[in-house]
This record gives sequence, C-alpha cells and structure tokens, in this order.
Amino acid sequence: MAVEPSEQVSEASDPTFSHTRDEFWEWQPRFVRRGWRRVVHRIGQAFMVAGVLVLLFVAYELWGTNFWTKRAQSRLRNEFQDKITQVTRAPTTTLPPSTAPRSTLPPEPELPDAMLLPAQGEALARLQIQKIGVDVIVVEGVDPGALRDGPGHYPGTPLPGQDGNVVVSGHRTTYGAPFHNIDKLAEGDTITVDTPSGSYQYRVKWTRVVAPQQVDVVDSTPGLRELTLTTCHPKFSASQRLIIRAEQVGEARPLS
Amino acid sequence: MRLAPRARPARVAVFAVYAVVATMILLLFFEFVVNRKLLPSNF
Repeated sequence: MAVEPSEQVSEASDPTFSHTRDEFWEWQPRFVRRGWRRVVHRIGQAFMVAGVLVLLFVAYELWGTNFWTKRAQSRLRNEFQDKITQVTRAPTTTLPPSTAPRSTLPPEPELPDAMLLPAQGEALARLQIQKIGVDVIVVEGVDPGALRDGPGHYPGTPLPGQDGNVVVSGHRTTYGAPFHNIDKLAEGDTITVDTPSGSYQYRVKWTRVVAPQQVDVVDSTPGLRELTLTTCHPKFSASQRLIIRAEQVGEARPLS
Repeated sequence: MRLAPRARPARVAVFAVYAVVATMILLLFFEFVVNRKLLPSNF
C-alpha cells in the first residue's frame, strides 16, 4: 500500500498514529496490552460483533425476507394465470359432492380438474382485500415452506365456493407480511377470492384474537360458505392468533 | 492513515467487492441456515 512519505510519523511523537498499515491496525491503547485486560477487550469486541450480527439479522427478517416472497409471488402469479388460461380452454368436470349437509345455498360451482387437488406449494387462488391493499396468490399448504411463498390454504378445508370453512393463513410480519394490516378489517369489509372457477366475494362477519391452541376456529361450518383468515398476533409475536371470519356473498362471478 | 491519491480507487473497489461478498454470505446464512434450519417459528 502506497503511503506518502510525509505521513511517516514516529510512534513516540504520536502513539495513536503509525506510519505503516500493519502498525495502524494492530495499535491498541496501552491499557489493553497486558494480561486479563486484553482478554476483557477481546470479549468486548466479540460482543460488539455479535450485536451487529443480531441487528443485521433483525433487518434481514423484516425486509430481506421480502425478496424471497416477491420472487415466489411472481412465479405463482404466472402459474395462476396459466391455470386460468388452461381452464377456460378445457372441458370442466364436477366436484365430488360435499359431505356437509345441504342447505338452501346455491349449488356448488363446477370446477375444473386443475382446481380440485392443487399440489403442495402450488398456486390456488388470488386473494384481494382492497381496504388494506392486499393482492396475493394463495398457495396450497401451510407448512413453513409454503408460507414463505404466500398465504397458505389449510389442506382438508374446502376450496373457495364450496360449503364449509375455507381457511387461509399468512405471515403477519416477514416474508412479504401479506396479513400485516389485517387487524384493520372490520365487519362488513369485502374480501375477494379469485379461483379458476370464478370470483367469490366474502364479507367480514367478525374478528377475534384467540390462543394458538384454540383450533376450533378452523373447524368446518356445515351449511355455510365461510372464509377464515388466520395470522399471528400481536405483530412481531406468535403468542396469539388473529382470526378474521367472513361469509360468502352471492355466487361465483366470472373472472374479469 | 492517508493513502496516496492513486491508491484510493483501487482500495475502494476492493472494499466494495468484499462488502458485496460478505453481504451475500450473510444473506444466504440467515435464510438457509438460521431461518430454514434453526428457527421453526412463523411470525
């Protein structure tokens, strides 16, 4: 490393400033040069490095993880669009009849094969909540890998438009935080779920905070067509769950 | 320590490369080791 001759200063005249690179970086105050003080100094340095790493990790969790979700959502959006395109071209089949008791609701929609059993992690529907600016693709499954890509549909719960309780879970923070502002939803707000079989409108009935063990919120609701959104509560904690329950309004509309 | 003027751009470039490499390593470590192996949580 080139150093200007004029920079050369003896350590005696200025102990904080040496004239070679090695001496510069290895210079330490006199009090840390000996014995246990040196050990304490090193421990302090280690704590500072650890603290910086923890802060970087927090920043990564809050903002960096969005990178993976954005990439996945872009892929899923194309996948979903392809599915809709295929469906509009292919002949349709009828869903097997629901096991729930029939009600006075209109008949369940005819759904194409592509909609019946989406594989784990595949695009299932498009969820839009205009009030809080949500527009995301819902994937099948709620394991951590699926939820990294977007909100997940609980396997075993009905598909949108079917009788029962359609359950969708999503991150409140990290990985795109699709449900970050879901606590702003109130009774009467509209949620739209687009699927290859059509577009469904749901109207919020109630919101509730429950314990993580209170899993009855995902139970089936025979005779009703409902949608339940679940996420962690409060923000940045997983100590409770926030539940949004909505009911279907009207029948399927053709996708616009 | 002041460097000779002609040495500055090279040193800045080397530092930038180090910073990019370190950032990439940290990012991959946080995602694939900490998040996917060590932390099972879903916030």
